Amino acid sequence: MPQSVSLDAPFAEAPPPPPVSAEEWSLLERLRAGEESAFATLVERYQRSMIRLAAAHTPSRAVAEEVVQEAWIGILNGIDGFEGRCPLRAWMFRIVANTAKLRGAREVRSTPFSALEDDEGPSVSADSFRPAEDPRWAGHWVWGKSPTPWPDEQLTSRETMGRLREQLEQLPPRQREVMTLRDIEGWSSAEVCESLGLSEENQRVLLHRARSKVRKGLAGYMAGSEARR
Amino acid sequence: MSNLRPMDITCKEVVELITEYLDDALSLEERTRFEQHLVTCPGCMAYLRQVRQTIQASRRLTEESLPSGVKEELLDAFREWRKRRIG
Amino acid sequence: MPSESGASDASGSRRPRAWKFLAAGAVAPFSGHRWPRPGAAGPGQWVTSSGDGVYACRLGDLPWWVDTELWEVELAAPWEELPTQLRARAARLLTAVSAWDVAAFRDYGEACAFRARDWAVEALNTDRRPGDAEALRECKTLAEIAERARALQGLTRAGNLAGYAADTAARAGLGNAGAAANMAANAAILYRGTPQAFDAERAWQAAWIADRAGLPREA
Repeated sequence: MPQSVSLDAPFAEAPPPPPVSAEEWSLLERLRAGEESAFATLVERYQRSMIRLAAAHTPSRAVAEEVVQEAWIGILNGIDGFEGRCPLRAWMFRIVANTAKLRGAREVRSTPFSALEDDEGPSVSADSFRPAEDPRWAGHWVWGKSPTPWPDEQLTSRETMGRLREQLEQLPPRQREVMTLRDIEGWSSAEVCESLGLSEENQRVLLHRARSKVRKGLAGYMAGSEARR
Repeated sequence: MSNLRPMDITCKEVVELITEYLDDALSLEERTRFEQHLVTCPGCMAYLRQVRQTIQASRRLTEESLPSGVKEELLDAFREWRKRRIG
Repeated sequence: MPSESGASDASGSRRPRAWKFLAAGAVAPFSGHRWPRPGAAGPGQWVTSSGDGVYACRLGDLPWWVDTELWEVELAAPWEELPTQLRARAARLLTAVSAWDVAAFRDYGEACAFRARDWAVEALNTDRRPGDAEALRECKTLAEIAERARALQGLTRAGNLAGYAADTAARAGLGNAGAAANMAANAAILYRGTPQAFDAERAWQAAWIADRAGLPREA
């Protein structure tokens, strides 16, 4: 058969990186040998993402930065013991996540996180769908309440991006964490599960709730701004 | 009482399956029914598109560049660590 | 265009004639990726997928996947027959079925709506409501059907069929042929009183599409 093209769906996630690349191993060796430039490279590469991850669990950016600083020490202290059985990034980010959670746990109020995150209703309010007694279309969109396409131009506006950020910040921490890694950082499902110690199912449930909430928040905003025009 | 065939997926179900669909985690049969529903339902097609647009917009969230002070602090921490290691 | 029902491949096994509905611009409707189109040099490039294969339709599968562009495609072995689609390792676009276009798509939805209207008319007559039946029968446009049938909507069999007619006409009026056709197939269940009527209605729809698109009918 002659050469074929692959129909990679434009919305597919990037394939997972190799466990530890040759370049990363070399970086690790240099780090273990005490080379400052190796450490600087790692910081340049990962600091931003680590802050974002830590911010999902901490009340402020300042605290997130402290957490990441603490995590770097933990990474350096553990670097000799890293065997490369999982990706370097996943290993490092797990340390960040654990450090953040420990710090977050010290600062949390009396209500445990798990209880806060169990207040889930459906992704879309029930009154958008026809009730079970409907003679023809139970469970289908109510005429006039079905979603309509969002114009792409409106999505890239600064106001919309600001609203998107707001929606993300309002998510419960674990949902924010998963959506941040999957959708902002572009990690694969396997990497997120590895880093956060989640089963694929739990990870997906968190992602689903997060995306549903953020979409809903954006939908309300898009509809409102249309009315203003 | 609805006429609908039990095998046919409803819009309410589509909305809850959207993440599994995007993760390619549905079985062939489920995915087929999901997509066949989209053929019949512009509302659900629009919903799917909105979720995708949400994800793509999220990808565009950029971070401010590393403040210079942060990197210096970390390098200091690294030097301390290196000293303890050798000593 | 070859007239036999499918060419043989090197192993001598019969390759089915296959079609594929796509959105405008040969775009796959769910994923958004573009299929390479045939050009002066011949068919479009072979396409594989990062998933579990590429899909296409036999004639009877067409109503499940209806869209505004219809293409004849060639499949590369191995392929398999699934309940409402064919799956192959690879496929390529051969020719555009030019008789199928946006107008055909719209007319298809309209045909489904008029059909649902006719069932409602019959049911109203059966229910001894000749005035209502005639009022619905004489509607000439989708908008008229939608309005008249909505007024006749109710919880009896005839009233429900009027409801289906109104729903179908409203969707067809917006150009949502896929929605209208599905609604008509559901209405058929009530009209004929059996769940098998759904698939039978899909078969009627497949024949309508094949006729309008100028596709050869096969067993």
